[in-house]
Order: sequence, then C-alpha cells, then structure tokens
Amino acid sequence: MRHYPRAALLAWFALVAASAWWTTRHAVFTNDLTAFLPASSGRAERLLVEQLRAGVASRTLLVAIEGGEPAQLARSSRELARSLAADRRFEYVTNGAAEYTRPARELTFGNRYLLSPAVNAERFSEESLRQALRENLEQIGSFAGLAFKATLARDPTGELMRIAEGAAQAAPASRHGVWFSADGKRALLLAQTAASGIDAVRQQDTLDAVALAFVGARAAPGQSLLASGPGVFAARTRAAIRQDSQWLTGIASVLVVLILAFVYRSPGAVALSALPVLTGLLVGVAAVSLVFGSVHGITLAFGITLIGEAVDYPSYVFTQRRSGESMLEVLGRVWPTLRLAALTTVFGSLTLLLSSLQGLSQLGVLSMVGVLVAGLVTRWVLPAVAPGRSAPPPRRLPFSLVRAGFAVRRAAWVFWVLLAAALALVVSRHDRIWDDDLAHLSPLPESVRDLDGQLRADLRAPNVRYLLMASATSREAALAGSERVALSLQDWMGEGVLEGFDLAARYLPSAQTQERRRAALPEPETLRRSLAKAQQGLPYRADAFAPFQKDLEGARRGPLLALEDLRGTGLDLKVQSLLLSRDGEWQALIPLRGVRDAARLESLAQRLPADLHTILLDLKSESDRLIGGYRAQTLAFAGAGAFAIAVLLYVGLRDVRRALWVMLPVYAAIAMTVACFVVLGSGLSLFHLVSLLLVLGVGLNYALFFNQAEAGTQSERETSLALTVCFLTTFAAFGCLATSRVPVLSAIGLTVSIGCALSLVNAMVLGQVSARGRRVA
Amino acid sequence: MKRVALAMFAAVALQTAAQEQPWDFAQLMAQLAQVQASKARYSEVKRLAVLREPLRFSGTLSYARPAWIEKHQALPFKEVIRVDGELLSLEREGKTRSVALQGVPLIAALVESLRATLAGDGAELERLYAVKLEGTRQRWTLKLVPRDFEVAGVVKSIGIAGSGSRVARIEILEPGGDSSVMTIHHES
Repeated sequence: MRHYPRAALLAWFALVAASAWWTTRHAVFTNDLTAFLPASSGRAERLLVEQLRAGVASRTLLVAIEGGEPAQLARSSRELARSLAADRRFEYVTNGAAEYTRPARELTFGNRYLLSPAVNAERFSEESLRQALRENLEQIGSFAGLAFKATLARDPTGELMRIAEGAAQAAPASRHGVWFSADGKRALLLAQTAASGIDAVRQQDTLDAVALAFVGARAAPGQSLLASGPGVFAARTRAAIRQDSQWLTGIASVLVVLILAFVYRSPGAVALSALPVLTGLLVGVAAVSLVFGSVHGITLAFGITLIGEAVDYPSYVFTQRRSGESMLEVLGRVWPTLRLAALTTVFGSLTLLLSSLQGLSQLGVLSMVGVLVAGLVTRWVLPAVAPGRSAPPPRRLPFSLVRAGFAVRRAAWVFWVLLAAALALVVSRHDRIWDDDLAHLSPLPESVRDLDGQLRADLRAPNVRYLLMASATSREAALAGSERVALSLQDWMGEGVLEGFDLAARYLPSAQTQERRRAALPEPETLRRSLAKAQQGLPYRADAFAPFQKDLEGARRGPLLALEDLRGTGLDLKVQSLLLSRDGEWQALIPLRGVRDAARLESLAQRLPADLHTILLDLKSESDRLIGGYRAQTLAFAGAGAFAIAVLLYVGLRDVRRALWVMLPVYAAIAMTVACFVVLGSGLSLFHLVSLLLVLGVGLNYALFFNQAEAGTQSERETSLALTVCFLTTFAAFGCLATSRVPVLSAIGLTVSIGCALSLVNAMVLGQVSARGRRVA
Repeated sequence: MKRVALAMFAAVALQTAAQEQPWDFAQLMAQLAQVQASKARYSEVKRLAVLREPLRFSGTLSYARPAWIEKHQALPFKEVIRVDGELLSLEREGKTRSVALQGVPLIAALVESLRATLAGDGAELERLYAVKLEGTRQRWTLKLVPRDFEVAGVVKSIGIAGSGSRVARIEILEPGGDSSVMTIHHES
C-alpha cells in the first residue's frame, strides 16, 4: 500500500505524456461540417457543403461603404478598390468601375460569336441581316443610339446585346460609374480573397487589410466600412467566441477559485481541483483522434461542456474530509457514490458511440473517456498528491441543504404541480419545441446575418436557396449537361415558375456548343453576298460593315474559348464557383433566382431526362433536415442512455424505488428547463440538447449524494457542503456563460444554470434522505 | 465750353461703363436662368460614317425650369424622351422605360449639357465640361469639351449656339467623325 501512490503517479504521468505526444503528433483538428452530415445525404450534397465552405464561393468578400454623398462614396470606392487590387491577399477586386469590368467586356466582345446563344446559320442569312440592319437604323435615331453606335460596324446583329441580356439581370445598380445599392446609400465592392473562407486567422488578416486600406483611402468623415461573406463569418465567429469565452472564462475562473479557496482554506486543494478534468480532456481528445483519425471542432466544444461535470469530482472528496483524515480515508467513504456518479455519465455517453453520425460518436468517445479518466484520477492520483492529514478541514457552513430540503418538503405539492404544468406545456407544444434552423446555431448575432442578406441583395448576388446540380464525369460533359438543363429553365421562366438562374456555360459554353456556333458562321464570300443584298435599299455605305466581316471571319478561323482565356477577367472565378469537381466527378451548379412556385419546380425538375443526373436542392430545408436528423438521433440516444443509466442505478443501489427517486428530480428538472425555454419562446437547438445532457450528469450526482446522506449525522453536513460547493461552482461558471452576447454560449450557459438549479431544488425537495430524516428526528 | 467738356466726360464715362460690362459666361448663364419655360419645334440631322446619307428627325422640344425637358420626336417615328429631375424616361412603340440618371453617368453627362445650359447652371456645366464662350450677346457660341474620360470616349465636343436667352443650335461631334446637329425653330 505504501508504494501505491508512486505507482499511481507514474501511471498518470505515463498516460498524460502518451496522450500529449499522440495529440501533438497525430491529432488533426478539422472544421469540416461533413462529419455531421447524416449518412443518407448523397455525395452531391456532401460535395456541395464542402465547396460552399472551402471553395471559390467561400472566398467571396462583400464590401460596402456607407454614409454621406454618393459622389464621395464613389471616390472612396475607387480608392479602396485600387489599393485592394494591389494587395496580394486578394485575387480579384471589382467595384463595377470600367477599369475592372473592361477585361471581361473585351473578352466577351472578342468572343461574341462563340458566346451568343443567338448564333446559328439562319442568323447571318440575307433575310435576317436585312432585318437587323433595318432595326439598327431606328436604333441610331433613337436615344440609345449613342452607346450602341460604337459597336454598330463590328456587331450589326447585336450579339453583345444578346449576351448582356443574360448577365444584365445579375448586375448591381451603378452610380458615378461604380456599383451602388439601389437606394444610392452604399457603394459596393466585391473581392476574392486568397485565403480560404474557413481559415479564420488569415481571413481576419484579410479583413484587417480591408480596414487599413479604407483608412488609407482617406474616406470622408461620416463614411463607414461594412464587410460580409463566409470569411467574415469565420473571422467574426472566432473573434466573438474567443473574446467572450476568454473574458467570461476569466471571470468564471476567478469566482470558482474564490469559492473553493473560501471553503478549502488550502491553496493546494484548490489547484488540484482542476487536475481530473484537465487529464480527462487531454486523454479524451487523444482517444478520439486515435479512433477517428481527426477531432472535429464541434466535438471539442461540446465535449468540454459534457465533461464539465468532472470538475465536481474533487469537490465531492475535498468537502467531505474530516479533520485529521487522509484523502484515502475520505475516498473510502465517498468513492462508492462517486463511482456511481461517474459511471452514470459513462453509460449515458456509451449510446452516443453507436451513432451513425461521426460527430456524435466522437462526442461519445470524448465524454466517456474524459469522465472515466477524471474519475480514475480523482480516485487514485489525487490522494497521492493531495495535502496530508495535517491540512485544515474545509470550512463549515452555517446552513444545511439537507435540512433545508427537509423543511421545504412540506411544500412538495408545489413541485408536483410545477412538474405537471411543465409536462403539460411540453406535451402540448411538442411540435414547436425544436429549432432546427442552421442559422440559429451560428454564434453570430442576427444583425450580422441581416447585413449579409442586404449586401447580397444590393450586389444582386444569388442568395442561394434553390439549386439545380447536373453531374457528369468531365467538365465538358457537366457544361454540356447544364446547357440542356438551361433550355428547360428558359421554358420554366416563361411559365413564371422562377425569375432567373446563373450558369457557368453562360461564361464558358461547352466545346460542343462553341463548335456548333462556329460552324454556323458563313464563309466570307457567302457573307459578302448576303450582306450586299441585305443592304440594298438601305442608306448604309457599301463598305460600312467591313469590320463585321473581318471579326466574323476571325471567329470562324479562330480557336474555341477555354477556361484559361477567362483568367484575370473575374469570369474565371464565376465559372469556378459554378463548377465543382472531386474524384473525377463534376457538378455544374445552377443557382435559381426568384423561385415563385417551389412545388411546380420540383415536379418539373423530376421530369428532366435521367441522363442529365440532375438534382434539385433546397438548401434551407436540406440544412434543416440535417440538423433535425442530428437532433432526433441525439434524442433517441439520450433515451437509450437514460435506460442504461436506470439499469446501472438499479444495480448500484440494489433498490428499484431508490433508483427511481434518484432519477425523478433530474428528469423533472429537465422537463421544467425545457418548459422554461418554451415559455421564453426560444426553440431548443442542438446546443440546448447537449447542455441538457450535462444537466443530466450533474443532476444525477446531486440526487445520488442527497440519497447517501443521513440527516442529523456528520455525513449530512458534509453532503450539504459538497453539494453547495458543486452547485455554486457550476452555477458561477455557466451563469457567466449565460451573459455572453454569443447566442451559442449564452444558450449553453442558460440551460446548464437553470437545469442545475432546478436539479438541486428538486433533489432537496424529493430527497430520500428527508423520508429517513423524519424517522431519525 | 463747359457743356462740351461735360458731354465728353459723359461719353467717356459711358464708354468705360460699357467696357466694364463685357459679354461673358456668367452673364449668359444669368440671362438663360431667367427663362421659366419654353417650347419650340426642332429638326435634327445625324451624319454617320456607316451611312451614305444623313438621317433626319424632327419634333418639338419643351423645357420648364429647372429640370424638366421633353424631346418629342414626331418623324420619322414617334419617340418621347423626358427628363424630370433625376428620372429619364423613354417612350417608344407604346412602351415606357425609366432609368435614374445617377445610374447612367455617361447619359447623365450628355443630358446635363442641355439641361444645365437651358437652366443657366454654369457651375454644373463647368464641373462636367471645359467651357469656352465666343461671340456676342446677339450671336454666341458655347463650346463644351467633356472632362470625364468615359464621356470623352463617346463625345468629342458639344457646340451650343444661340441668341440672347434662346438656344438655336446644338451640334454634337463624336470622336469617330459622326455628328449630329439639332436646329431649334423659335416661333416668334
């Protein structure tokens, strides 16, 4: 027995060293949402989620300058665009000014005979040409003539106009030559960042660059800078969580340390309180990376919440130490209950392991291993390092929770009424309890998301909700397939099902389409003859359209347009964001705008030819389904976990009645907490659910310890102190979190503090001990 | 003798006064700003490099201070262009299209050359164009050269000729050699 402390310490040290080594060498921390996608989702959905998070679209930065005169805003916009364009952190910048749109315009004009959907053999017949020339004559006379005349000699059939018709609907409003919101209050810019949208650190750096450039742009007083986009979200999320969690964790830590120091009267004991939970976390993370290869960011965040219960373990031991007692002697008395407390949590998480969602099973491993290790450290390592017999015993409290519970037991009917009310509320509103909106899981305040929606509307950027995806085995095939889908979409637009759509093939038609258009261009001699006949009777000079003949012949003999040709025009980014590929599979994305009849759209999309492999995605309902599935599964496993816990308690307490009376206060507290949120009108998200799992773990411990205390004895005072300390530390820590401005943090904080307070009160009111206490008294 | 001296003095004084009030841009603008409204027939001739012969148009031009202009073309086809403050509308074949001038700076600059001249808004004219005034009060010519690079790509210069507070002729020269001349026929 004398050698045991050293052996325990050695084992602990070896475990910590091995976990630390494994974690630093092998653990990969990812933020890949796909770990949380239900397995039923297809490959296409996974690809899409991945691309939206890390692909070209995620690198789009929306910038706006607002406040003051439009002319001054335009000036600042030009200055800002110029300095961002010179910054290597940006791949492409545009504010709609001619200097940025010129490359795209020139490329489009130069390749108009390959790009225009109107090009076919009929287009250049004598009849069509005469028609076009006659219309041109009217155009010259009209007001629009000035702008149009510049290209008349080169493009009498108006191909540029025809191409622009498709793109015009997607262009933002313009004032003083740069993009503006329709109301003229904001000048708009669009930038493509070099950093990936999920790289929060580099995105923050990029945002700082924008802010600095804005200051450098010598903006007029009163002007302010706005920015949004996936990268901004990533950076803001990181900053918000970091700022709030650092600040609040700081306050919470100080409070907890003050409470512990006041009670233990021993700095050593205070310091040791953190040992089990930190060891548990480290070993848990190492275990997750050992089993799964990587650790998901969300797993880590939820896991830390879940094993928060382990902070209480040393408290249960330290508070129940009597004067002159060694740690081992305390554990001899407390351990059976503490063991049961830790095992209930382990059993509860066991069911999560079986989840088909990797994220959930990761969570199960982390909390199971974490709590188990924390329990073992409390049992074997703490005694080896804790202050000896001579340390002062913990302070005594002037009140007793057990006695208080005995006193309020007369008012137990209040509890039953409240429980019945809570259950009635939960049952009657069971369909409205859950909030599966992915947006509400965002740690960002609603105003940030509103701004994004506004800027997207200003820039006429597609606010993607409905999306058609056509998959194929090559880029060419994907482009060609999407062109066929586009033909159907044109018809549906005519029917009024939707307002418009975007398409990669609009900027880069498939080779097959380009070849068909090129083949439709007439030979020079044929064109000359048709043109000459078409001009008869019209006042054009004989050689007026020589530039047209030259351009057309150039296109007829020239190469097809390739993706490389689009580089530097901004159109390449557009094409890349609408064409995805992975593992030899290509997807053409077709974002739909202004969908008026979703049901009709769905039935039409189902009737598209099967060889196009088209699917219609409703991203909103897709993400709702994803979160709903995750939540439903968590709920199912929580139910299975509850059953496992019940069996464990029966085995541990060897009494069905006692087991039920231990569980009742906690489950009642959870029902009441849910009822509280229903009354407050906020739906329960995944974060609430995971927090309730923590409440379950902590609340069971309360009930278990109430259960083992005997009224009027020394154990009553000790239990009272233990529960007071455990509750106050939990309440202090999560109460701080509840004040956070970050919705997720405050949801977790609020749920845990309300749930734990209710658990404690319920355990007091219903505690078995009071029944026995009456016998003693 | 005294009378002669007085008469001479008066003559010199009058002459000096006349010299102190030469015909200048500010005066022209002030004079034009007096006009509250006007309406007159116009004819327009456009000469284009791609055409063998010029195109001829005619109709009526109406103006009301400070920013309402209507160009009602009757021949060879009907087209109404109306500027009302910031709003430009085009009516053709029974269809009306409207656009905010702020959104189309190029067209706005061209419209301003006419509107600011009719309204006697010298500051606005000088903001958009390099302005040069020639001739006399009875027969003046205002030459406008666009300051903006983009506008200069479409219009080389605009010549506005008139008499007193009336605009009689607007000539637009384009960089490619095309031109358009609008003659305004005042009724009196």
